[in-house]
Amino acid sequence: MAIDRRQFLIGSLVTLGAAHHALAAEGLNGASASTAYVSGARLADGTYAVLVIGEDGRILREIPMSARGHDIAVHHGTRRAVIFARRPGFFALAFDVDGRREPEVFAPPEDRHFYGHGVFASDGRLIYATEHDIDTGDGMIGIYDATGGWRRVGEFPSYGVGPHEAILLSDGRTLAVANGGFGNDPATGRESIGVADMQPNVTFIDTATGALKARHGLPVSINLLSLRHLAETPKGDIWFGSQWLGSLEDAPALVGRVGLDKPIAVLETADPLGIALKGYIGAVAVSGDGRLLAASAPLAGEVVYFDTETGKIARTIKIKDSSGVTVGSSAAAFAMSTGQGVVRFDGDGLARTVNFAGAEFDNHLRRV
Amino acid sequence: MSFYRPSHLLFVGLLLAPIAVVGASRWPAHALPIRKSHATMVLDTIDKFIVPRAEALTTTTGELAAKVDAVCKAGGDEVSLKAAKAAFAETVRAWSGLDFVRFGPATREHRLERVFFWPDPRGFAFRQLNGLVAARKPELLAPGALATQSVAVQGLTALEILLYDDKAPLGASADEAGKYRCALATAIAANVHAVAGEIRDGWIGPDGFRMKMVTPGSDNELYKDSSETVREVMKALVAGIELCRDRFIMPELTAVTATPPRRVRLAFESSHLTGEYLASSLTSLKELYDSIGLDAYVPVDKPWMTNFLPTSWNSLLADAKMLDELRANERGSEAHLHALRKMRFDLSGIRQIIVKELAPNADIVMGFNELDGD
Repeated sequence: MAIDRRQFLIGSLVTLGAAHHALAAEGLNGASASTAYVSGARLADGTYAVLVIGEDGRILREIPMSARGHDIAVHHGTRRAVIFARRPGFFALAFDVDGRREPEVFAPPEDRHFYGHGVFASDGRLIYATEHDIDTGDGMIGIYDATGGWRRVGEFPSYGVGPHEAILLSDGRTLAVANGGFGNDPATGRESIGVADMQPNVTFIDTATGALKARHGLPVSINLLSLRHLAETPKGDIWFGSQWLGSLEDAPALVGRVGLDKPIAVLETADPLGIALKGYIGAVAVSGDGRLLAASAPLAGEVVYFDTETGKIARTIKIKDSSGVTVGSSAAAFAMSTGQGVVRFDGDGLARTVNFAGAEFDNHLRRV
Repeated sequence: MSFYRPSHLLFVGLLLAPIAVVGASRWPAHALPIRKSHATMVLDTIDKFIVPRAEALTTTTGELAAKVDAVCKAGGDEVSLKAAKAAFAETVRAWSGLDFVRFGPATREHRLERVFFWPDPRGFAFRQLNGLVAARKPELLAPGALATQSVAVQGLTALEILLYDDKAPLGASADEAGKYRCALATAIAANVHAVAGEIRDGWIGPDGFRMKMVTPGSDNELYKDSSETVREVMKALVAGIELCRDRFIMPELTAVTATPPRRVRLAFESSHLTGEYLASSLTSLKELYDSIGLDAYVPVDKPWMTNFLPTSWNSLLADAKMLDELRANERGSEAHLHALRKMRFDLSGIRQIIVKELAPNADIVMGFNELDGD
């Protein structure tokens, strides 16, 4: 849906008034150091918010938003977070996960829109956002000052079209970007542009210079595999989850590995994994011990665990409208959220489900 | 001002409305619509909606190919050009009823984009087409040759550019460039016809997609049960509603309310078929809605929907028919804005009721992320 950028910002600023009152009610010093998670959500009354939730099922914080959010960049050192509006997004909402300061809204320039993802620099002083150059169709990484004001201080190319998730690798300097391969026209909202000629890739970019370190694409035969989400193992392997934009019966496996010096390798499975997962992975996460990759498949109503050594399926969890998935509170644990208001904490042989009545969790869940 | 101020919150309010505020049901007790099973919903949608439309599309594209060819053979005389444009309009109408069926044969081999390349915000089709006209490669005119070129030059978007160029009427020029343009238009029309045939053929026959959808089961690689196939059908309905809103209503509403107001390029503007396409899409979506039989799943505690839904569908169709004229003659007027906002209201309302009320009541799960994730 096309939405005017100015209306979005005005709307977001209006909601900050509500956020302020919420914060005032609970006290600005109401910090909680226990494990918490954060996700965008649609609430029972049809409005949107970012929710900070506890493992005990409490909503610790609720910050209204004027439109639907997508992913949340979290800086654990400063306990700050930024939720990005989903593609084509025109705002980002920065907030303190403990509610110690008021949220702030910032926007991309007139000729850019967000793709719903971003990542903090290691020191938390900058945030990198995946963006679309509306005029040229090129993918960009916008750089914003996180030390005050969220001013846009620079940009560099994503070296592809339709950059979706970007992650900062464990070297603290290299950005891995999943360029999904297609763009959007803000006038026509979320409808994809140029799908037939897609050339998705994963690029590795030096954040200090903006220079391309490596770019890995897909064979033409599977160019409709839109690479979207990334997660790094402690050993430095980058796993990706993707979405197939062709006919379901032609869907390849949707999960694979790539590295700075390793070309893309899509998993080879005995059964047609892409068809079984309905051509769609919503999010990926690597467990704390690095042994498992969790990939959500909302169309199949599953979260699938893969062994990161062998690439084999370790376990499948049936969970309707799954999407958000993130590292849990122990080495082999995951937390996963659904569009039906369910959060499941899964690990150490135990699973616990919490229902947040009326909430529909959006695409991503992050531990804070 | 009395403009609609549509808001999803209003629909939340409507959905929560208590029984006391509603009027009587549209149907007498003995005439309640039949509640179809998921399998019947799918079967009826395929046999009464999709396959007949795929067959009709092939008929119209066959006519289109013949009429465009006739323009070139007749040297671009007015009668043949008029006939080709009429066939183009028929094809646009026929495609509007299938464009949102984004599963099955149309999704293979880029057929959706090869029939209709849109959105095209940077005028890619125009630039690509100009490149082909300038290069004048005769081999591209051979049967099937265009299928190897960019999808942007293969379908209705490119054909519209050639067929509705008032400065260089198709077939009127006897020079080599003019002849090539006409021959290219003929090749494009033939290509659209070929793709339409592929879509139709992909549905029918023992190995066709119809059989895959009506025989779900453990031995069916694509669909294990009818809960999966009915979701495909429902997603097409919702996608179609969203396409109408996002391709036509929101771009125009955003542009005319900008300061200063902006122009926005809409689908099929050159052929003056924008409104036709939208109205025809909406008519088809209502027929798809009826094929599924969703009226039967109005919740018993919300009988007001039995009046609200047909009123909204009718209002949409009436407003869609006015849009072209409003845009041409009084763009940005109160009447134009009113129509756009009302259509946004009705489209959002119908979508919301389908997803939040009718589908769950029919035991069809359309999850928040499943329906529109990223």
